[in-house]
Amino acid sequence: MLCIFDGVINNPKVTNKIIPNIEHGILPKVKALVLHRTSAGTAESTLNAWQSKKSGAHFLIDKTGKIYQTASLKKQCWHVGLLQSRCRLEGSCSTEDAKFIKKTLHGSGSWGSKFKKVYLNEKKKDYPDRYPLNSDSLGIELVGAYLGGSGDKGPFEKLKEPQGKSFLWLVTELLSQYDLSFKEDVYAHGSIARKKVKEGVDAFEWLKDNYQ
Amino acid sequence: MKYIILLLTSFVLASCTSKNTEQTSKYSDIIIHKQGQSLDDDDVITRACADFVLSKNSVYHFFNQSQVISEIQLHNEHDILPCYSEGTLILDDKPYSWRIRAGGTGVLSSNDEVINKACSEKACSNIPNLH
Repeated sequence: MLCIFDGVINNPKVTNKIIPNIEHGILPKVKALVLHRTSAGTAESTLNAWQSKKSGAHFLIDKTGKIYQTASLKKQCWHVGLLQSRCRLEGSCSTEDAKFIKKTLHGSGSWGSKFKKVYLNEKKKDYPDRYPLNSDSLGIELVGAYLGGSGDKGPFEKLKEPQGKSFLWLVTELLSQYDLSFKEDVYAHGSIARKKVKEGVDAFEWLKDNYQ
Repeated sequence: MKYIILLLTSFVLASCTSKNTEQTSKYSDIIIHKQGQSLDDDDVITRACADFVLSKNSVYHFFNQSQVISEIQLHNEHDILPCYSEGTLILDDKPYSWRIRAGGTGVLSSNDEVINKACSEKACSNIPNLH
């Protein structure tokens, strides 16, 4: 069981590196974990970028295995972005939902506005009928560059051994802390949002092979 | 004095114009290989993305008017919409493959280089169907 004081983990494995500008509003309940990759080769470049930005995640795990907690577990981070429709990807949409998505994406308006309308429609649903949002999930970033060149379906750097070890420890602790299911409540970012398709996917696969 | 100021102003304006021309002429030989492509395989997205069609002129304007961004900026600050078009071009005498995504991001790549680019709605307002 983690020792958490006012949203901050007190454990020698976790370094407190809270960055206030990436914290946004109260996170009422943690219902899921979202796995991210940084698209950068070092922890420093991501930490530096977050110092002046509003988006970020709750944790950053360096290649060395060092875990930084960058936001309070009581606060929301903007880490999910433009969510995809869960029922569309899983083939479980109601007739009404399917019609809405088709009509929206095939209708008029800018590309950005069309995909945003689908996202806003998802926001109306409760988890787990939709994928997790910033308002009910924690974000874990793993340092790793994008290796896919100009494509959007390429891989990210493989996890380093100490990084994987820390990642496994953190996910295990958080799942236990919030009484979440590994099978149901852990998501790769690229599988649920409009990002590089494989963001977090390889890390999730690695976790599946190593989580007990 | 008046004439000197006028002369200096003309010189500054001329050099700006010349610089702009130089900046907007470095992309050439634009070829479009695929239009209206989709990252997603399902029918709804594939059919929607089929409308993401750009002219050569739009490609030219996009690369001239967009800003270079880092991979980390692309990751942190931009969504990757699933619709894209792609092809090849010449930049400063060097061949590149290009991809432009709906929503205003794009990328140039060669054997040894990847250049990410982004163009805001304001900066690329003259490109129909981009955002």
